[in-house]
Amino acid sequence: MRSQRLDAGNAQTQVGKMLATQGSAYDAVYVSPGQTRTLIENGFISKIDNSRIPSWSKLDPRLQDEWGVPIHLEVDGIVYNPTKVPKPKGYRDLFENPAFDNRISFLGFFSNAATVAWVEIAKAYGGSAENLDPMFEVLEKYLPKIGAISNSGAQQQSLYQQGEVDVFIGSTGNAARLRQLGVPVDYASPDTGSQALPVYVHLSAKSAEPDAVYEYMETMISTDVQKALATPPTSYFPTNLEVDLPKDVSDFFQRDDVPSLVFPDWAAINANRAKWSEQFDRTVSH
Amino acid sequence: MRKFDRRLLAVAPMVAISVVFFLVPLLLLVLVSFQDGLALGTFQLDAYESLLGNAFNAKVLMDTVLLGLKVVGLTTLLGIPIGIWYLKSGPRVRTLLIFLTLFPMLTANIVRTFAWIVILGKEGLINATIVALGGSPQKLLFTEFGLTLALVQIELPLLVLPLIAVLSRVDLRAIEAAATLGAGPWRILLTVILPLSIPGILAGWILVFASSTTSFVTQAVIGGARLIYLPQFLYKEVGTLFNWPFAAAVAVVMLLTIGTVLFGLSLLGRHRRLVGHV
Repeated sequence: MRSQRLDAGNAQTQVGKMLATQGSAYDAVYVSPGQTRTLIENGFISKIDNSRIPSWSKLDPRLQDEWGVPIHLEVDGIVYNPTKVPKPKGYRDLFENPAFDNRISFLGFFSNAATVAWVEIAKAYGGSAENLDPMFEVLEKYLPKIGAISNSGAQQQSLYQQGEVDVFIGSTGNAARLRQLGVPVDYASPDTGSQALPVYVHLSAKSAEPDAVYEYMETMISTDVQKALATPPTSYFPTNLEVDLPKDVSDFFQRDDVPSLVFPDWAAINANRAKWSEQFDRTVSH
Repeated sequence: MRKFDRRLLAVAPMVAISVVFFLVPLLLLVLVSFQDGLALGTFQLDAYESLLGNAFNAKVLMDTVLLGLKVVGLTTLLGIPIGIWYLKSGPRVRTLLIFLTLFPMLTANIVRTFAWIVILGKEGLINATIVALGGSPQKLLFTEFGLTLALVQIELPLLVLPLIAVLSRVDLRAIEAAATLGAGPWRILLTVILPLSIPGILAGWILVFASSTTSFVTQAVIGGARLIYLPQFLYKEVGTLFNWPFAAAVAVVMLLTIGTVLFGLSLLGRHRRLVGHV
């Protein structure tokens, strides 16, 4: 069976290879919801038959999806250094509270997590999933007070570790990893709600080995594998309800908080992403 | 009939590899830039129109060329004194200079780039020194100044190495003759040493310009996302937006722009009046 190794950072590479091969690069793909929409729109993945996955019933029903099996839940919000800045209340606070001046790093629209956060910021300032104009106005206004616009999540975290920035839009997994490294860190759910980015394994429409893919899906959501993925260094938020949240995950987010999560409208985002990306680059680069 | 030169067989594998792994993909890239989507078969100029007809995209292109020219200028200013030092030194100092030039190149580009974060950062070496001297910390990281500084250090060996390679062949008697005829140090520099160095300087310019304009890692890490140059621009179109015809058009324009500058420099290198002294 052909599949990418477990590394969500490869989601865009996987979509790129699927586009280049018209959907025949992999038997199974492991991507975030933004990429899932692209795969569905191109007809590269098939709906799954959940009766072939014995552990299906153990999955959190809020994450079950006809297009794939959720392997872990990425919860995105505000990661901050409690020894340097107060706990952020939400996205408006990040812009309007002088305590965060020159201390925040943002990412552009190449990042799924950042894209979703920019949509939430737009909503917080009166915009919507289709209208990000209020966000761009705010971004332009507060640009001189933003510490960094980084080029990748990894760069953002290294800047945080070096004390260049003290706040960034990131996941509970990012916070857990930084805490494992001994860096002072905490996670704040924005007042508008943390954003959910469940990461799925999908069955390629051109898969020559669907049986192997179903076996792979079952293995990935089995209690033992989910327990292992929830431990450091991955510290994934498990989708299998039989698996208790390990401390370095529950320190930042509880299962009971899942209903408060914001599930983005990826169809709207993907339809506008290229336009927003260009507008973002133009806004931040002048 | 001319006899087949068997020596051509020796270069055949290299030619075959270049054709299969460079020329064919390059042609495909050019073809994709004229397509609507990924399937080949159409011919349209939409990607080029939206690339070149957009003021922001044109600015990205110009900024990239300007960055390369700035780095070329500064590495030249720093490299020529090193070359002169090399020229006037004995064998031990010459070996030391070559070692010091090569030493940073033994470290990966990405490591050198990350080292510059430590130097340019808010609490980095430069700002710590400024604060210790009573000043206030300056924003150096994610600025064009910081990026140019890092690129100059990283690319400097690419200018110094060809320069000292040329200077090591210089007949020192030419300098002695100029001095005997009454030329002062500046006149010797301007009328003897610099003309003799020109082939090395031109080779260095080509290497430094090509490397600094395409230095994706350094531009991304030290420049951040607010300084946008062609490599990051291209990467986003390929990997995030999957707009491959547009990305291919960016790549072709990048190749042509950088190629034109490099071609101009190599023409200069062949100019008789410039390099005729050697």
